[in-house]
Amino acid sequence: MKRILLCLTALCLLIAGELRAQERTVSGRVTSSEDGSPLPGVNVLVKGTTQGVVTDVNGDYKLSVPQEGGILVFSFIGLKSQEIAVGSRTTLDVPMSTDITQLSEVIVTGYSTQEKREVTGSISSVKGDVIENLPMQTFDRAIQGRAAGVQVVSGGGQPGGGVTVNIRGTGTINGTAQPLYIVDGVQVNSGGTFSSVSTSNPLSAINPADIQSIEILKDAAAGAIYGALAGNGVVIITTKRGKAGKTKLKFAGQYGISEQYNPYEVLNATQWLGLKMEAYGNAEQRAGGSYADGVATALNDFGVDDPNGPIPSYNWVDAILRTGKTQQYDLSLSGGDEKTRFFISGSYNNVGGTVIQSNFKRGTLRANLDHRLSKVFSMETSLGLTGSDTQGPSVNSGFFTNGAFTGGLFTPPINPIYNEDGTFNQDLINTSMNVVQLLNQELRRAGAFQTVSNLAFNADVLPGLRLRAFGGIDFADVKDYNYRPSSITAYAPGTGSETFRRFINWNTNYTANYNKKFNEVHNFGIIGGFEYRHVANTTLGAATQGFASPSYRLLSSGATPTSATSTFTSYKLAGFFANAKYDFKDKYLVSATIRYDGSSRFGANYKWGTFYGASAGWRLKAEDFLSSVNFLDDLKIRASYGVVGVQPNGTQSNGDFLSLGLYGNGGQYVGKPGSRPTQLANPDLTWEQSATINLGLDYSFFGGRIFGAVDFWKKNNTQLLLQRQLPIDSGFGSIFENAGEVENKGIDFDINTVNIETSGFKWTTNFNIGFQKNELVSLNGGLKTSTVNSVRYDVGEPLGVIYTYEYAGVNPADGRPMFYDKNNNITYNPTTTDQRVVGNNVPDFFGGFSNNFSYKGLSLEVFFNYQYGNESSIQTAQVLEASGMFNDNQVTSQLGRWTRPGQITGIPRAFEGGAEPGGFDPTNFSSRYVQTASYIRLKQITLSYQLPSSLIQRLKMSNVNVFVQAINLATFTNFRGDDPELALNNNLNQYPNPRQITGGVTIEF
Amino acid sequence: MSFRKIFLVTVLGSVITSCSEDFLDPELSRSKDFTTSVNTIEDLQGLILGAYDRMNASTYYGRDYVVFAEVRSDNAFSNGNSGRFVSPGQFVVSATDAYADDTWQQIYSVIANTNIVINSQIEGDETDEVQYVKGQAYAIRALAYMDLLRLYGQQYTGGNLGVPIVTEFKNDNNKFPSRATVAEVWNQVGEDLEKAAAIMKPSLDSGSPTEMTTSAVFALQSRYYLNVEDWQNAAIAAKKVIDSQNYDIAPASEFAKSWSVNEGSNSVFELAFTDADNLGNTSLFYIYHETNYGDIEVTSDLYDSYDAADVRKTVYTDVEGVIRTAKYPSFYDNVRVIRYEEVVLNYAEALTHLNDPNALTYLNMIPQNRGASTYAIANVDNVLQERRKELAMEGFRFFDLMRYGRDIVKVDQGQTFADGGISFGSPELAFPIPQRELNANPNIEPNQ
Repeated sequence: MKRILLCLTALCLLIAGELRAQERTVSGRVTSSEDGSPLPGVNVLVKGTTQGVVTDVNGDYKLSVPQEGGILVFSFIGLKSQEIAVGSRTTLDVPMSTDITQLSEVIVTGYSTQEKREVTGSISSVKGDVIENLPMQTFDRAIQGRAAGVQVVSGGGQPGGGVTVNIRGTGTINGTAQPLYIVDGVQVNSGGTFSSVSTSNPLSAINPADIQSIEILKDAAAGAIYGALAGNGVVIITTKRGKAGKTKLKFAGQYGISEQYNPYEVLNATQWLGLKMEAYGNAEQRAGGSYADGVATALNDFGVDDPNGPIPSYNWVDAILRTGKTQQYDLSLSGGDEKTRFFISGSYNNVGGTVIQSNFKRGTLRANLDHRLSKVFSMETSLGLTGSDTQGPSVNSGFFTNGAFTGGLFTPPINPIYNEDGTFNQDLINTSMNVVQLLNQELRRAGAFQTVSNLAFNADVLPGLRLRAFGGIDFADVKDYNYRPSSITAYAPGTGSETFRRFINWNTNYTANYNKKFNEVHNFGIIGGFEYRHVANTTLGAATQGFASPSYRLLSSGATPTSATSTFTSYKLAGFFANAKYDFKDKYLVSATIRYDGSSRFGANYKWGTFYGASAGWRLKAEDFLSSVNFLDDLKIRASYGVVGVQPNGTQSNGDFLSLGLYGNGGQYVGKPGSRPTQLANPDLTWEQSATINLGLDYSFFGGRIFGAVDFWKKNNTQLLLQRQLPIDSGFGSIFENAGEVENKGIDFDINTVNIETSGFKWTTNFNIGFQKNELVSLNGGLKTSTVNSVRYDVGEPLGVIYTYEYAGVNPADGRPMFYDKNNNITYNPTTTDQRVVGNNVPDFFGGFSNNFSYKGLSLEVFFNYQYGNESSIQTAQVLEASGMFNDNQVTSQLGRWTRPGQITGIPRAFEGGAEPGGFDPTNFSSRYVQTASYIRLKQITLSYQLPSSLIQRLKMSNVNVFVQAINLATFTNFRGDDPELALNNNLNQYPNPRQITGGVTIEF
Repeated sequence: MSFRKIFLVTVLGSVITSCSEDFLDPELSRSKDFTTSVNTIEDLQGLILGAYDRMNASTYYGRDYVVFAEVRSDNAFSNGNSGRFVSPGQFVVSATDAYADDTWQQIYSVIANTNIVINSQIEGDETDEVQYVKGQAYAIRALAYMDLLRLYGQQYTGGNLGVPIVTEFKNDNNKFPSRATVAEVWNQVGEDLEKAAAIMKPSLDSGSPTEMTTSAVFALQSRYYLNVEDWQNAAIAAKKVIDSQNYDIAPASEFAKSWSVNEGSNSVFELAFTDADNLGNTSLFYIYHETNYGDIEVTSDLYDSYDAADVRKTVYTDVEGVIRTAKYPSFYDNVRVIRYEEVVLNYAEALTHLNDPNALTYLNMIPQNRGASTYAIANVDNVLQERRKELAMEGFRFFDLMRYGRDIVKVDQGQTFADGGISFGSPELAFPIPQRELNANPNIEPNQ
């Protein structure tokens, strides 16, 4: 490898000198064909050379051309490229028009770029202007519904919270299911949360307003250049860069509110007590006593003298909620000249959550600089700094009342929130925790300081040949702080804990890229390179207890240190890669990629692996027989196949060292440290593999009135990392091995139409849909079923099955809950063998649908996203829909419980304590608490008005836009849980996504 | 131009740095690769401490192993308050039951630690200090195999299969061991104890019962010889502990208090817990006492067996007929594995079989120190009765009954097995071999 680079470098030094033929100059102005305004920043290139300039502020250019003139290529993103023969002319003015078909749109494909026309893999692209003014703190949230086959599931409504992105289905059990994110060439940490006290998204380092474009490499052939890392697709984020021309100043500000999306209507104290009396009465009667005795016990237990008198009721849900306020400000400055270009931006966010004390504050700073040192050398840098502070309630799942949402919903309404003297009531029925007090007095915050920055040097040593050296870092320091004051009785004498986490993740790569067109018909490109990545995460934490008063919060104020922890984990990756592409007359396109990757995570025998991809395309439109078909702008068929790798999920214990035999400090004994073997070695352990075959079609008709793409794909993940059961007498329960297979297949469809375009009025539509089917084909050791981290997997079923008892409703005769046994007979008392698959979490299809209407300066975007066919458990309902059998508050539907023989209802009779003698507790999980979570959500509606240019030019501004927008304004669903977007297996205590309304202004100078 | 040089230097510099020798070696900090990690006596001692730490897990001596011997006897039963120990108490533990699985795995993980110590060749291997550590490993392994055999072996069910004997850590030639016979396992236990006794120098004993000492090895030998009915050797081993004069029977006035004092003078071997390292709600304390678990209640049959003046009656509570033991008054209390009183009773039992006139003297030493009436003769019934009273709720009763082929009799309505009791020889007297082991190991035979 060293030798390759040495050779390349030597080559660069040898041939840097250039031959110069006799030349003359040509000049001119580039303007917009629509309004005649000058276009700065347009690339003007003498075809077949590296000789080129960009137009200045006035759209003017001047450059040397060969004596015989040659051909000038004018290009600019979003405009139709033009090639014009200079001939003998010395001035050449060019009007350029918008490229609706976007065939010349530049797509970032990894270590290089391609025009959309040339792309043969499956790539979705989201442009920055779609997301730049959204009141969302991270871009991953903003691409929801914008790309076919890309499923985005927000981790909840905590501002700045985590998101999971799933490209073309999940194909792994113990590997990571998250895509690889690359921000300006830097491979960044992503997925989940990097704080343990609050959910906090690592991608919040990037201000969405700074993003120029997001490319999603979906198939293995497109991702193959990233080899072992690309098994879940690749998301490439490119931030904005300056353009030569007049310096532009842009300001955007918005302000708004958010409110909780709460589908639950809970009981008041009178209704609640009514159910309780009935439950006690029924239970007493069943035990042989009298109903009245039961009721009397209930009244005694809950301290009520007269059940018919007024009973004060307290709404705990309202007490934890509030209207959150959102502020967001962005300022950017961009410009430059032919040599140096810059984009500098700053932003500030302050987003209040819909639950008291939940907040996200962030400041970002960015400087993206480009400088051309000479004809040969240029450099680029992107510097980003982000400081953020997240504060929010625990969203740990569990049937506890110390979660914000479980606490608010479950606490019986008969409990006063405050004592008469205004202090918090801590003497509560059914819970030891006053959740309102907890939210107000417990501190849970994560402060993060992050940078994602890079520096690159380029050498354009020959026409078409570029050498590039790149280094980038993704760094984060996060401090978790959790303080539980002694004023909360359950936490007396007060505890405090702090954890510092440091994530250092750097990568560097060296590439050589050569593009050449031979004889005007053979277009050839090759790129080769080497990359190295190093990830190291450390944590340091301590906890103390015994705080004199809530005003003292430093750990050193605690009387007794209770714990000290530190951890370190790390992995390294190295890869050699090459891609060659070729097209003939823009008609037949082929591309082949190979990557040889090594990882410290895998066994000695399989440290290195080879990944590859190949794709081909045929642009039928370029064939003679279609050239006369005028309504057809473009038609391209694509086919690809590739094999890439899936990384282990580094979050599990020893996740970075799964292949090693480990021996570690194991617990302690009388204060002395013990040690023990903790893991058996498997030197054969290697990557999970993901092989994707993709057949696609790109189309464009009627002058760009209809265009889009359709892709059929099948993805097979094999060599899954699975735990093999060992004879336990080895001293170990299991060892990781590669086995098993998951298959995903589907169709991604995307269509864009211009429905109406008249003078002034325009209506365009985008619709995308991804169909998916997921199946676990095999497990290891011939197993048909397996439970990993308490999730069940069944061969022949999708990943994410819901396996439980099947509820058979209520017996109208006696009001008791019934279930199906394994022979489908009705039983009161099912046993574990009667459990079955009652649903799965994988949607049949999902996508987005947006309509844009514009009239003169006024425009309206209406965007829906949707998902269909996934079942979800509703664990909250196990508590809220219990007919009053336990003391927790209930939803009003429970008033419809069975009360008299012959009554047809799905809600069992109230029976204190749950299970009737000889019966099954109906609040145990069963299909009763499983529901289809299909939904359509009005994700975004934006109304904006661009002030007329006559007015704003007088104010020395170039563009002023005012807007109002609403996020999650309406949701259409039958799902009765918190939020169908959060419809996952364990969805207790989740923070629903709020409804948000903001208004703002964008001003450009 | 100079920038060309900068470019060259940057590229070459970075490549050379990232291509250095170890550029893809894993960086381990918390754990080490064990092929290179056991080199010093400290490493061996660390593994022994690790073995103790694994022994005091709640699935072994921390709770379960002790409770199994009580709920499967006439001493105690599970009231199912938190759903714990219901299936052992009913004698219906299945192969997929966590009780069968967890304890099996836990004991073999202890054996894994000891196997590494025993088979390591380190510098200074022949020194007394290293030999002492290895002796501790032999003794711990012996105890572990004794416990495995008593729980999973077929010696009480009419069969002769014991448990797999694994004496090397990660031996690829013995990946799928089959079950040794009961006799072979006992033989292994005996050999390991012999070896321990031979290589441990008493001068190196730490003096703390929280570690395996030479006296603890002799005490274990006496326990082992009683099991294999070698009365002569049982007596010799027990006598060695008695003659060491390091231990005392807790006097009547101290007996109740002794349960809240760690490392008392009657303790030969105990597993330690501390403020920072204890089992909390998975402790014996939590399951025995009136807590939100509190599943294990004492039978009235046991409670009524004490004389009114017997100080041992004070280590029970009787609240409206719910009888609980008061041993293990907190989860900071060390688990007593070998008490001196047991050694005395082992000696008395061995002498009884040997028709030695001193048997009665030693047998009566215990009631004499408890304010209880003494025995007129030393016979097996009296020895068993005294063992029941003295060692109740400490994990002995089931095994004592089994050693003498006695049935498990239903003496309390709280007990959940059939009214007729469980006759000696019934298959349910052995825990099943865990299903996970059966799945993974083709050579292993299940219990009936």
